[in-house]
Amino acid sequence: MDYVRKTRVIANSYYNMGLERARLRDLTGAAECLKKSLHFNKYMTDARNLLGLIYYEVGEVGDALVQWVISMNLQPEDNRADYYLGEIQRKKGTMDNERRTVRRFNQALVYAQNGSEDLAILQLNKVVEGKPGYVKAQLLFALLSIAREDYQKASKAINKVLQMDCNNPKALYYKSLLKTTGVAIKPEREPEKRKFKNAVSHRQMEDDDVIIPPSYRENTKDQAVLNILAGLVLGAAVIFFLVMPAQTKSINENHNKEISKYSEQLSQANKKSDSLNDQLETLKTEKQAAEDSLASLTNNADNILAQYQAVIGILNAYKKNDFPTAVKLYAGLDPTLITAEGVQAVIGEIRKDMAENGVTILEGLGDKSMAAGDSPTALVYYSKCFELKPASWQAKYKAAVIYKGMGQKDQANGLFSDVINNSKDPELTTKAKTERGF
Amino acid sequence: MIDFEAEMNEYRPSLEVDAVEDAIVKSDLTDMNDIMMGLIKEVSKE
Repeated sequence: MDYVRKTRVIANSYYNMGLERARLRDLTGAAECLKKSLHFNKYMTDARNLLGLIYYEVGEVGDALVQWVISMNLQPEDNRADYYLGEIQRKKGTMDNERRTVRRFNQALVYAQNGSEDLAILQLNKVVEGKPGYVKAQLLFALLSIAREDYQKASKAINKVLQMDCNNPKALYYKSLLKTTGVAIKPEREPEKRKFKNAVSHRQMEDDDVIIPPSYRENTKDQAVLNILAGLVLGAAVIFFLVMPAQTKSINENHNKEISKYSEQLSQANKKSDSLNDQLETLKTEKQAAEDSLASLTNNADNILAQYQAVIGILNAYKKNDFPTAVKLYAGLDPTLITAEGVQAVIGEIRKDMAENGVTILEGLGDKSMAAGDSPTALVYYSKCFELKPASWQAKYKAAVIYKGMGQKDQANGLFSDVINNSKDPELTTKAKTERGF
Repeated sequence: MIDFEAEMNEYRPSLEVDAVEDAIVKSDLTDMNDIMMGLIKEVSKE
């Protein structure tokens, strides 16, 4: 029993030593003392829990869990390890982060030991960024930095380690090596000083700082609605009084310009229309004149052709000894339309023959027409009679009667007077006088 | 000057979280008291 008591006393002494060193941030030394304490008494729960805490502090989460789980097995009740394990498991993702960090460090170590220092440094950068208190990672990073002669980074990593574990043998060794190279290692500020600095309210403003005035207060929902409504009303007023008049003026000016432009175009179009109408009228007149001329030419041509045909017909009738037909055709002949001298000579011969032999036949044809009620045709025959033979008093009298019947008094009176004065036929003269109204 | 290779070989991997159970099982929890009790038992047998 004496041995048991003695081992407990020794274990307790080592625990106290470990606790003291831990308080002085000599974690390596504290861990050594606590391990010795546990060698003497494995049931030294406080020593085991503190050892787990030191492991956790330097980033060795796996070792910490081992110590706390064993502690819980050895002393299930009233154990601080229960709290530590609960804290780690309580926060979601904490365990996963720890797992990833440890794996990344192990991977970096493999890279470093296999000569892939660049890959190792990449991995270690991620590890120490996520967990600056990971002592083993910082030390490896410092070693690799020294190997690459990047003493500043090495110095920084060593300082971090010494801040966590002030008597870490490797860190002190690396620090001594850096001193031989002449690199000055800046000591970390004391935690108390940092705390003091943060405690002072008068500090330098950062870019992201926001100054909130004392009069500022949060708006309620009603105030927010009122503010929005007021903003809408103000906006509508600005639009109505400032924007709309300018807009209206601009629109009116544009409309006036457009109207002026259209008026000018309309005026030009009207002028063009008038000009075209004038041209149309002129062309219509010219067209009418041309049509009349064409008609006249056509009629004259027809008439001339008809005269020639009549001459031919008369000659054919002479050839057939059909004198009445020749007389009839001569009655419709207009010799003035024939210009050919040869034909005129022929017509002159025909005229002589008609004057000697055709007058009686012509007068008979006139009488037939009168009997048929065709006074115009009869007038043609009678007129032809006294044209060929001016002394055709009967024909003149009959023509005068027709003219009278047609209302052509001047023509009628002229012929009646000629008959009265020159016919020397008392009966005919009496008739003429009667018709003449003497 | 530092012996980089030797220094590097001193580093050991950290215990992974997934390997905690195995580590607990393999843990040697023998303390001085257990050793003394074992010695006393052997002496008693003799």
